[in-house]
Amino acid sequence: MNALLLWFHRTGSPPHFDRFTARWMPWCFGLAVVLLIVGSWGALFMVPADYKQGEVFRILYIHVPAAWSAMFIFVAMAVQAFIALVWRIKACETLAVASAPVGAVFAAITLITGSIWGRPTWGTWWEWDPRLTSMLVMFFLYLGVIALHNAIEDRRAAARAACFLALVGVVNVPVVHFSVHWWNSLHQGETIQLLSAESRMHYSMLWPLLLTTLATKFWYLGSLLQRARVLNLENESAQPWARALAAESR
Amino acid sequence: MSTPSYRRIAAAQLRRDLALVWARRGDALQPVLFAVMVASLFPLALGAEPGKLAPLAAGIVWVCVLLAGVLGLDALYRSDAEDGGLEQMLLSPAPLALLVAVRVLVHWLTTALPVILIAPLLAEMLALERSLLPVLMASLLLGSPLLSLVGAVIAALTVGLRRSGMLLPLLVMPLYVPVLVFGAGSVAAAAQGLDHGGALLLLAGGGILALVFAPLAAAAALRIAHS
Amino acid sequence: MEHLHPWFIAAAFGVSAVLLVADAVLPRIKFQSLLRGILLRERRQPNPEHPTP
Repeated sequence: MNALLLWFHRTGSPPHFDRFTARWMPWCFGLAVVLLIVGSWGALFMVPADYKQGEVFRILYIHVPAAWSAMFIFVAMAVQAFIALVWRIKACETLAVASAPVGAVFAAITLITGSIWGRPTWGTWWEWDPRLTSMLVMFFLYLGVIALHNAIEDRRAAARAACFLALVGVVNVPVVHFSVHWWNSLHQGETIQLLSAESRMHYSMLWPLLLTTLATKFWYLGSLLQRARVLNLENESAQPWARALAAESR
Repeated sequence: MSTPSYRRIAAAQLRRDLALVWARRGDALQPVLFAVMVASLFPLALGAEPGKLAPLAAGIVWVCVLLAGVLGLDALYRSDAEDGGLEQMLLSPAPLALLVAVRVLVHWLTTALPVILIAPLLAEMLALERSLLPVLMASLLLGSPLLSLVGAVIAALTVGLRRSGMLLPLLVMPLYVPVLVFGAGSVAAAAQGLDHGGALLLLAGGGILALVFAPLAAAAALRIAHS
Repeated sequence: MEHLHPWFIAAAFGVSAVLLVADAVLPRIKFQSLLRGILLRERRQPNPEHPTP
């Protein structure tokens, strides 16, 4: 237990944090890219076309993992924010703040690919159903965390405020989904069976989805480490180790 | 001298905040005028046929109340942040959450309640069906405290930001979505003859939760933003 | 619309790829500019109390 705690404390110190993130980031990105390429190739060329939707359903293989990641990252961000605020761990502040842009990217991918997929299948670029609306709100919440962090001058206070907002936001996400679902069932609009194919997916169609999902998780790790490294350097730019790093990078 | 009772602390804060509002009572009309003006924009933009406006009326009123509230949020802590009163609140032995709760109450009384009181006027301007007015008023009375309380938490995070501009409204809008959906949705349900009680009860429940947790959260946010 | 499906698929995968690449590249650019900023500051005001290791 002591060794783990020691490792934890060491890695949290800024110069070690820099080396740790620099070391592991390329591996995460590399693995993500490989999984993404294999998974996409499988999605585009190996999997047979859908009976109802034709070719266009292949967008599922990038849309669904992006959606899952957008939601997963928000929760991860909130957990890191909670740890940062309650136990005052600076490294967790950095990780929480670094998670926000990655989550925003995945939320944007979800919204855009969903819209592109929706046009030929539903005939419209957008619907105000619970899932889309909650994803849109989640995207705005991500942007809010990023904007708040950028707006505050003092970097520590900015990180803590962003963490707080992330916690407020994570509570709001299921509330938004529930509220819009209630509103939609109230108005008894068209029920959109977006992923009716998903629950009945045969393994021959499933494996690229598993690969692309795993790819997005590793992408999150890689991007998180890289962005955390940037934030770490930004916060500690006057320190000797940072100046040494700058000198040797020349 | 030991810390005074909560009641005396609350009363003192109440007196102070009401006096401050009274000193700038001209400003108190601004949210009302804003709501009236925004409500007027809709018939101008959409064309004034009653048939077209009536189904939208409740939603438009709700949006006007919401926007007027959002614009008034910045003033919640601003004067205290500027003149050092905020530090006094932070240093005071009185529980910060209590002070914040009283502040939010005064804010609601002076900015949200006046707009709600003229909501019937707005509804009439927008040709809302008369029978729906009670539901609209109930939803506004139950929902607007939620807006003020949640807004107070977010305003606490941005206190002291000099050039905050639109940041506070942008941060607070996604959090207002559920309140708006249930608030305006209750009137929409009543319009369709469906049960609207569920939405109103949810607003009430949310309001009670917010009443308990939002002052605590806002106090925590003030400490974070001010440190 | 069936004949347009490949374009939709290409658009979806293409946009995703662009966004992901941006997510990977933009922080790296920021990192480089931070390092450059530190170097410039070092040259302009070398701090005798804390010499660069």
